[in-house]
Amino acid sequence: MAVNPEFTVLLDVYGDILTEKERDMLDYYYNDDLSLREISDNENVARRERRASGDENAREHDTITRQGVRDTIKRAEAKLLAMEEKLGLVRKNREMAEIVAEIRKNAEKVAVRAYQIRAPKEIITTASDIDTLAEKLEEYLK
Amino acid sequence: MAVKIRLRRIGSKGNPFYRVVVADSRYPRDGRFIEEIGTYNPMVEPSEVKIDAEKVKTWIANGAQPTDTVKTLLKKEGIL
Repeated sequence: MAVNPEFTVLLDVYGDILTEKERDMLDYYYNDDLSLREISDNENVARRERRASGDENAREHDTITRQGVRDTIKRAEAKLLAMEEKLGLVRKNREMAEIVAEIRKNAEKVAVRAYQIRAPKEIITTASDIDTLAEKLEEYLK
Repeated sequence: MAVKIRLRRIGSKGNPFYRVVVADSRYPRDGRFIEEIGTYNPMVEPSEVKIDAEKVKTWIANGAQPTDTVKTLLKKEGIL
């Protein structure tokens, strides 16, 4: 796994469009730091157990190789990147968070300055209200 | 069952944060691990790594394998 947290965040945002299998494998790969080999080994143990318990959907020689896991993960990553390309939710979220932080900084500046020059109290409370609203927006962007 | 030093994600949606843990290779469905030896926060610039170097060395001496990701972090911190 790359130390780059990008796919982790994409998985949080767009994970629902993946199949359960793709989502699980990306989760093991990026959130639990398992290797491709570990994922395929674990998956084969789970499938063997399903067959042993008489699951009708479990096929006779159904195993997955390390390469198979890799293909599944690559395909899932491509789906996530395509979604981000179309919708850009992660990018927009990040940009909005930066703007909101800037708004809060400015509101604070106004409040401090207004206080220093003994401006009407209304200006200080309005600046403080802007900060409170921006703080609420920040919660949505988390 | 191989014992590994690996990352395990905690932290809220869209805000990844990792524990550095000693754990085995099985699916960590129940979230169990043997010991927590550090944390890693990739979301700040520069990323923040806190690892107990002594514990890492002891675990490696006892045969625990760091994953490639953890190896990268250990090198970056000058522990390996």
